Amino acid sequence: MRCDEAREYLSALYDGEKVPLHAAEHTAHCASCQELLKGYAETGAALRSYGSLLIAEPVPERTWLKTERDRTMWWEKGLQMMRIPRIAFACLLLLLVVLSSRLALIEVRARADGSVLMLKLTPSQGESIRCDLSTSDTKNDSCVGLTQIDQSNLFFAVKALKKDGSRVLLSIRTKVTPIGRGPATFGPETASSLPETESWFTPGETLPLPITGELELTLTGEWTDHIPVGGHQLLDPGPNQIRLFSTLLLKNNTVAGDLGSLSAFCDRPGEGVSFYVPGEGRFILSATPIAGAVPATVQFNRVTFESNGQKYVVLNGMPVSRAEKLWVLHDPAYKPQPDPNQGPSIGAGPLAKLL
Amino acid sequence: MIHDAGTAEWARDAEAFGALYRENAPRLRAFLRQAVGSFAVAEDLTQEIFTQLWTNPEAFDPARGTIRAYLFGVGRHRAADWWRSSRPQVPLGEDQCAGCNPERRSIMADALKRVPEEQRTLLWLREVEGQSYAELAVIFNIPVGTVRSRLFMARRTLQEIWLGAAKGEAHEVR
Repeated sequence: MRCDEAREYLSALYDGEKVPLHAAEHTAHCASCQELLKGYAETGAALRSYGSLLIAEPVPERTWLKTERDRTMWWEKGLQMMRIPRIAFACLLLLLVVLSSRLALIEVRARADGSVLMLKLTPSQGESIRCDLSTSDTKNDSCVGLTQIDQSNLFFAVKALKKDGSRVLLSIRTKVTPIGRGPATFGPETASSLPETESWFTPGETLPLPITGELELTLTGEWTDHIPVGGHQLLDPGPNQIRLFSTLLLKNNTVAGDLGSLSAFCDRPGEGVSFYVPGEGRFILSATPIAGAVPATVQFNRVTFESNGQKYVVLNGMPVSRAEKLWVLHDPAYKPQPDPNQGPSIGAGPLAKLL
Repeated sequence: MIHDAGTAEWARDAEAFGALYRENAPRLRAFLRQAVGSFAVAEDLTQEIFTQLWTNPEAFDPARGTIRAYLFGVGRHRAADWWRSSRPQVPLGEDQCAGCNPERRSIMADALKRVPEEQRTLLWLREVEGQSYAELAVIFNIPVGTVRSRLFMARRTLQEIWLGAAKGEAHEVR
């Protein structure tokens, strides 16, 4: 080993640290390295001597009182320990505040500037009806429905015509008929024959629905940025529930009908749901046997049955029912009234009414 | 010698803390004096460090080393802070050392002043305070191997200045 290689360890050797054996052996036999080691000892001694003189100077006497201890606040500790300029820290805080404010604004705008109006039709008796309208998508700018309220059937059709800021111009068509009169199904084509009223509606306000006769019905709503899927329905069907939502009818594995965004729900014993597909007729689904109905197997969102030698599958947008078996009454000759040429329609209610 | 087993005692008891102060404050002040080059500034920093330890003893973690290593570690940081914030405003006057032999003091004091600050503090803690390589690694937050190599460099620097001073040479290390 050469002196210049050993000298890197000479300092450690002087401090009593472990060094490689060959470095120690070289130092033991090298006069030059021994001289350097001696030099370390001399400067070290001089340094310690100088240090001892400085350390020997007494420090001022102080009294340390326990009661004088201050509870330093957390923010004071932070200020004391801060390793970056305080102005930079202040700017950082300001930036965070600005960024979080922008996030909050973005969230608010997403809701306030949403193009979907979630309407709620609330009768004085009975449950509210959801009606979601898009003001930017003409395929989803209207909703139609038929529901029983008290002893009456309420037909309604609401369409978003125009959006102006936070308000929207609605086309509202309603008709009330006593139960037992009028059609049991209802579709957009039928709705067009109902009297129309146009009203400006601003979410946050309550609008009494016109032309509801003795029925008291109010309209409320709010803006959102998307059409909620399934109207917040739970995936798991409730007791006695039969649900049709965004349904496809398959006939021998071929799509025979598409009910689009139409939906119908029933949840009481003795009730059922029905749908009409042009060319295929009407289908009534019931949990209890109906004269002339065929049994159907329910598997989650599929209802499978055979009718007139054809294999049908009702493919639903959500699980149909808790029951594993339903009854399907298929009427191929059915024609909707008053417009036999109307498109697909859907309905729900007591079986006696549907039949 | 202050034992770390007494840490809890000095944190609670004013008298025990006074003993800790009397034993370590002169050493800390001497160390800071080499670091900042001013007796008055070293005195102020020493008092601040002990006041801070008294008001917030939880800042010392016995698991990380001895109380003396902690004090020198804090002192090193405070000296660095002082250099950053006050160096331009505070001209260093003639250092006062009552009781020192002026001739001996001036030779080593002059030599130390020419050693770079980090090498100077490292040498001081090793030679004067007898800090181990492991303790120095904690104080400077560097690996032990780096302590060894930096001490070698520091000794070589001081040696060159020391020998040069003996020959009457001017020496500047940057």
